[in-house]
Amino acid sequence: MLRLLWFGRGIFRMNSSTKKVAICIKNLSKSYVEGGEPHSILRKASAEIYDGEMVALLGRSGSGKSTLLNLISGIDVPDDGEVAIGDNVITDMSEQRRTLFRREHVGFVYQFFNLIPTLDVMENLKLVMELNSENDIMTRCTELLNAVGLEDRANAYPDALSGGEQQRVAIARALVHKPGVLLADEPTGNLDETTSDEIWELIDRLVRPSGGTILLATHSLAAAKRCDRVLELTEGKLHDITGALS
Amino acid sequence: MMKRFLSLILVILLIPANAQERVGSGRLDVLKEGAEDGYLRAINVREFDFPADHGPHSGYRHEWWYLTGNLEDDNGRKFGYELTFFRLALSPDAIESSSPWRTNVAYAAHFAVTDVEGDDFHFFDRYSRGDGRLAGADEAQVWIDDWRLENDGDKWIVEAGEEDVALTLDMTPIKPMMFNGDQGLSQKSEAPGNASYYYALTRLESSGTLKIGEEEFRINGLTWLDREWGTSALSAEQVGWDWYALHLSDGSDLMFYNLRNSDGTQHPYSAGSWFSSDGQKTALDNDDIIVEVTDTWESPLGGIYPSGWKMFWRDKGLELTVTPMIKNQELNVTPRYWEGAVSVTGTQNGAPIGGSGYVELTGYSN
Amino acid sequence: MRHVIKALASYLFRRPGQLALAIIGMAVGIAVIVAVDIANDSAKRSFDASLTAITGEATHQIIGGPTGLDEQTYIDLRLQGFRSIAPVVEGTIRLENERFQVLGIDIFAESSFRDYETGGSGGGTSGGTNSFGLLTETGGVLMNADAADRLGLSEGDVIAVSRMAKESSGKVLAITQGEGFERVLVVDIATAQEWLGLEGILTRIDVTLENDDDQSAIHSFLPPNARLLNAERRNSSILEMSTGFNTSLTAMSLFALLVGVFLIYNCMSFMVLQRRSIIGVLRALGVTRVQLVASLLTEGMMVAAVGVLLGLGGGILLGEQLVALVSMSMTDHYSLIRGDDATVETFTIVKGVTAGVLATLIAVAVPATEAVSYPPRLTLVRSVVEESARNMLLWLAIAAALLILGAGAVLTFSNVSLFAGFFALFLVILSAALLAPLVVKYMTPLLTIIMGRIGGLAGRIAVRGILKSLSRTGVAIAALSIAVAEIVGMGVMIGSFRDNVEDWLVSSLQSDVYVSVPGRSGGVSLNGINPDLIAELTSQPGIAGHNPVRTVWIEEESGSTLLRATDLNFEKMRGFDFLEGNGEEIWEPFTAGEGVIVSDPYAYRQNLSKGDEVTLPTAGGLRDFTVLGIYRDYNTGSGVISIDRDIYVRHWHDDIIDTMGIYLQDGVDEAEVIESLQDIAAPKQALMIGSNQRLKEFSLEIFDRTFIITNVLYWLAMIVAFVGVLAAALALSLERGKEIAILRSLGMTTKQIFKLVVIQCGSMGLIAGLFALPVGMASGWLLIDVINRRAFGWQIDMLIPWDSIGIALVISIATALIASLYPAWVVTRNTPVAMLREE
Repeated sequence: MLRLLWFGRGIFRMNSSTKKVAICIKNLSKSYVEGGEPHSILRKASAEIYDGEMVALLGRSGSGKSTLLNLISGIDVPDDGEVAIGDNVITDMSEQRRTLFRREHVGFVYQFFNLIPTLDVMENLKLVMELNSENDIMTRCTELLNAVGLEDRANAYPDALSGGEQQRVAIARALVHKPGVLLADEPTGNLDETTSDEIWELIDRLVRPSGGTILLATHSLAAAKRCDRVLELTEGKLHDITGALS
Repeated sequence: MMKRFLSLILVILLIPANAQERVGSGRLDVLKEGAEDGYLRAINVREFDFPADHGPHSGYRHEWWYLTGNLEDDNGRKFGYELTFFRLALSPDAIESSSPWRTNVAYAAHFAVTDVEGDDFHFFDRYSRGDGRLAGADEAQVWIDDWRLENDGDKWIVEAGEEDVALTLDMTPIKPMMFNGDQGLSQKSEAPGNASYYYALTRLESSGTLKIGEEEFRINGLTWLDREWGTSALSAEQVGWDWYALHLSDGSDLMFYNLRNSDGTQHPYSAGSWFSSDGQKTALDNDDIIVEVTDTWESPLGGIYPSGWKMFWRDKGLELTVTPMIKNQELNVTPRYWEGAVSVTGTQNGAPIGGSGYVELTGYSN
Repeated sequence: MRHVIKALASYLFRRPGQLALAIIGMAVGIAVIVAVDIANDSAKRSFDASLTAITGEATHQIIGGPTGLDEQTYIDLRLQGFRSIAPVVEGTIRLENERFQVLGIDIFAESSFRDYETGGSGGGTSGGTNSFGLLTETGGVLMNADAADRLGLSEGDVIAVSRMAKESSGKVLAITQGEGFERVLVVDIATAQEWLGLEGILTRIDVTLENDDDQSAIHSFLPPNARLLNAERRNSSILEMSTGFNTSLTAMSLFALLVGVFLIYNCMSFMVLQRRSIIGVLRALGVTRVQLVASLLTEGMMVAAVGVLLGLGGGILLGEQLVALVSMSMTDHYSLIRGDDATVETFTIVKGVTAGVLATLIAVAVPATEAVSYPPRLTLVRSVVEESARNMLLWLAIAAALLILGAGAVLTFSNVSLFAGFFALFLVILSAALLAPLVVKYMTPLLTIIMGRIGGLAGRIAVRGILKSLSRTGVAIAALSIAVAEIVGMGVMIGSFRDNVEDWLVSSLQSDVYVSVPGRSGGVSLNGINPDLIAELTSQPGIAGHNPVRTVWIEEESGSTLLRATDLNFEKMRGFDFLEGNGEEIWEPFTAGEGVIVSDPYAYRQNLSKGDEVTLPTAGGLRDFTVLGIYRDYNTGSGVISIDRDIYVRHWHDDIIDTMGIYLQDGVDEAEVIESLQDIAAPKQALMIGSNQRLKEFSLEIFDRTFIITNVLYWLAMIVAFVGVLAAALALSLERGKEIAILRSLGMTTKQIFKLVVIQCGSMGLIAGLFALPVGMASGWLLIDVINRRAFGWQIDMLIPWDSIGIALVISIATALIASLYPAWVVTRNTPVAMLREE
């Protein structure tokens, strides 16, 4: 039931016995020019994330976690290398197709919530539904607001909400259109400990059991420990350090 | 009289008023050779024809009717007056036009009254186009607006007034005409044509009324009328002149002009006429009359004028003292000059003689 | 304070584009205010200067009848001893395709009247010689240096002038410098008479009178047809008439001022609003409210200073261009306007600077005071700002209602004051501006649906964004609305006016063919159609009848009035549209000479109604005539009096015919008749012979030329509005960069984003355009029924020119759409990555 609720539109028809690759990162390179100097963020980073996995992406501030997530979601483009979600090679797509793919298959949660300030809570959710031309928008959105416990704040504007509340709306928004992949960039990075716990609890409660693929950028070891696997981004490369943590 | 050239030049400086200063330097040009091309010249002695010659002589460049007179009212209160009309041709020939305003002639006039007892001097000037309506002349009259001089063959009439000064006179000549120079041809310098035709009615018995402000005076006296026309010029070295026209108590009239050179000497063409009581003319040369300046007057507007003279005519035994009736008889017109009533005392061969007259002084105002 | 300012200012400097836009917005706003003012002032001043210079020191003028003043009057006065009088022969003449006022004077009588100020010309000729030249040189001219420069003439050059198809030659005697003579050729009175064909006639005598005694003295010497008029009063009437013409310009400058102020407000307030988070942080750090407001004001003033300077410079440059246009259309009516000299009045500068400074002060102070009035934390909160902006709506509505009431009161209690009319117009436009946000609020729900249809989600978000950001969009929409309302208002006015004129031309031009002497352009004219020629022309086959007309100017202290003597025996009163009186009843007494009929503007100005008496100066002195009727006429703002020809000839001793309306028999070919008439007239007299149609076209051409400047100002207004919307659109888009980044990350395509920005701006254009329609109509009504009526006395039936309304709407939306393209391009070009990381 829960699985159906959150990840109704999985990348694959799920068969729990086979491990399918949900996100494939191959030799990904990206550098920025800052202050005239090229700044290499990713250097041929490679990794595979399997369907239904919840993977933590560890790394220090500025190590390139956000960049990696942006590349995976297709918001940004790499200098070199390949990203594929399921069978779809994001990096081969046009901007237009990337966008269309993203809005259908990817949910995103940000450290700074990034709710649209001129829209109220309900409108923020509806927006995503409308983008995907979904039916039954009201029902679905109300369902999700109930799930994150914010049904009474439906008409509040983001800046009237606390950080925790905003992030809960952000999570609801990320899931409202039933994406196959959820990307979260330091979802609790801007929140105090208690509120962070609430958010983790929410993810645990709502997302974790659903079996969708989750890639979670964080610098919190505690958070990483909740995940199936932990990848660490150092020196522009990805290393699986699941074993080292346990 | 050549002396009146300077006054005539006023016409040239008419308007625009604010351009006068600049134009002032140009006035000599008008009187220098070249400017006379196309005009008639006074070269030969001519047959005068009256009353036609009282009227304008349009082929000549300039012409004037020049009245000065010494008057007194029934109580012996003395007045002097000057009324002059100048005609100046601006081009030799008349200009064809459908407009009656078109003319090549300009007129100017000066009117001044000296109130001796009131120690007051009034002067006015006028300018006009000589279109024959606003200003003009014929054998019977010359006028600018409502200033006029008329004659009907015997009698002459003067009418002039401005602001609160008004003069009307009936005048009758009591002596014949005096023709100056050589039968009325008055040579001004060596060059032929540098001359004018010049006659005068030296004694016109005048009576009429003079209004000054609220007062009206019945007045009598003598007027001197000079008529002169020509096209000739000054010479460059002449800077001004002193001119005397005196009615003497023995019935004779003395006219003399002293042309002053820039170096202060008297120009050799200075000359005059003596007109006896019975109308006999004696031409006077440069050296016949000796003039000594006995007094000066400084104009508040600048310039020092002679203001008192002794005149000697040795051949006649005449010794005259000429004194301005009042000091300030300067006409602040353009150019500025002094012309005023004077009284005369003196002796002829020891016998006392008196009189009155007019003196004109130009070239002092700088 | 230094760091406070720096914290605030460096934000701006990191966004040079936006800073530049604010400065440009301010500059453009001020430039338009200044430019229109310069155009207006220069035309007026140059006219005034000419009038004053030509009038000179005269306190009075002796004016004759329509055929002028017999010059003997002047000579008689002179010979009577009147001194301070000067004769004048005036008229217009063409020189190298420009119209000049010929001022014929007697230089001997002049010195105390006018000052031409002969310039130092150096060289051989002295001023004295030149003055003589006026007398001796036929056609000698003292020419103003300005005109000489323009025509490339110098001292000694020969010129060819023409008047009524008559050519004359002249010569430049001297170049003069006197102000006001830029369009005047000073000539001797004889030359003027020769050129103008006014031999024996003076157009007036200038008089300087010191007291009433002089006045009555001179009065007693005047012939009955001559009147002594007060020069100052007469000039001010003439000036009033001629600059009433500038009414549309004044209206434009009013619009420009408001649009400019809103533009400035828009740009400046945005700069504050945008930094409310920095303000919040600074407040939190302990910077006091006063310090913050002071810093923001200081900064605003510095930006304003740059904008004001640029605006003044630009405005002066633009103004110079406009002056040429204004004078071009004005020279159709008056010849005294010089073409190329812009006068910058101190008041113009003051107005421009004040508009900039005041608008900046308000634009900064209002949001700054508001921003600092919340507790620090709340300052960060955007919704608070918008909430309060929406709360202000009620107050804005109340203020708007008060302004409209005020406008009504002004109109009710001011009777004929033109200024009051403009003030009312100002109040109405201002109230409209205040209502703009309210309109936005009530229009958005419907628009959301419409735009949702067109643009889907992007459309709905776009429209909702307008309402959500009312604090910025409201002002931009107000500015655009005013600009568009200006177009609608002027369109309504000019369109109605033109339509009325057209109708009037159709009904009043009843003859089939018109014959007239060329170049009749006011003043005294003795030029008529040769009577023998009239007989010959009218006896041609195919001609059913003719109406001989004489049109003259009656000069009074209250201005000039056109007196038209006409013989209506043939066509009766067909051509008159009576507003008072009935044509059938008027006909009898009119032809019997029992009275006159007057045009509506004349009646309005003189406060006349049917049955009243008008006093007219006839050749035999003043005479009363009964007003039999009042008719519609757009001939001249000063008004027309029509009188039976027989009566005119009897009372004015003038039997000249200068125009002739010819009626053709049915079925006669008009072109053929015209051709044959032309053939007959050509060898005998230069006449203009044309069809009814041609005359109509010609009249409308002149009408249209009069409003060229208006068209230019249209576009100027649109440019201001364009910059306003561009600034608002760009600012909105830049400010919402993060929002757009989020939208993109959520899966909105660049196409959708582009659509969003374009629809948002387009919707603003649509709202502004729709709102501008009623506002424009109201302005149009004020312009027609209040301002034109008060300025000219014209009664114009209001007409709704749907085409110009359509155009205004299209322009409004198009402007907004075009303004949106750049910001749309900017936001879609940037990758959203950086924005997403910022807080």
